[in-house]
Amino acid sequence: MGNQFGVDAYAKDLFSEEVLRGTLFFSASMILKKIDPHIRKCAHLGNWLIISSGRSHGSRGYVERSKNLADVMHKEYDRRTILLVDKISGEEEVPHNVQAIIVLNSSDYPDVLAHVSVRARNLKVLLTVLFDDG
Amino acid sequence: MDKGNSEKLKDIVFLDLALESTTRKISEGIMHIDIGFDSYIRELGIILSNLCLSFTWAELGFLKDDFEMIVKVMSRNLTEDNARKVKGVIDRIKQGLGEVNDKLNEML
Repeated sequence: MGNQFGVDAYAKDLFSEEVLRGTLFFSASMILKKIDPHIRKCAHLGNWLIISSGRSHGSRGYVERSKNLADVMHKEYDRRTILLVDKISGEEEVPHNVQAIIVLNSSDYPDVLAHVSVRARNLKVLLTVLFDDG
Repeated sequence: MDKGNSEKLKDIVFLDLALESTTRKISEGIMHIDIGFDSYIRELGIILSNLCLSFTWAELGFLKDDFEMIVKVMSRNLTEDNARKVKGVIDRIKQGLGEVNDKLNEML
């Protein structure tokens, strides 16, 4: 639809995201985030939570670390990059040329339909949370 | 119901929109208070039922069935084995939400 109307890509992306976040799917996503830690604890699962699985052939790149994803979200990396971040709010953009984002030891990670999760999924970027980096 | 009666159908469409909006408002309100694990499971069941009424997507029906048969029953006794089964269904629901995003994005 967006292409037929000649809408700019950023407006089309934002519009489709807002349509999705205006539905009950978004409420379901928030509740899933609330119940997930308890289930993980009872199931004795590992420390990785994958929000977006990225490309099927894997994600490779040079590793860089940033305290907040917000600090680097408009940065254009010259080479393929795996980004380690300490904090992510969910409203950030995925930086250019980033292949994977790993949230380190985060107690507050984005839900499946948060802006950054949706962007990562659409761009086929791996987005994962590591609960314990020790 | 007389499906040829456009006035009645219009009423139902508006009622559906209003109900979805109210459910959304209530669930967003609940997000900011801790209502406990059991209540969140109940809330998720209500939302899935509502989504099944609003969308004719086969996967949603399967997710709802799995939720009723596995999550609702096993979450009362979350042993390690039960929790892993519940986690399987929860992950499938998450995957479903991701697919909704993909489809909407493709459509728009």
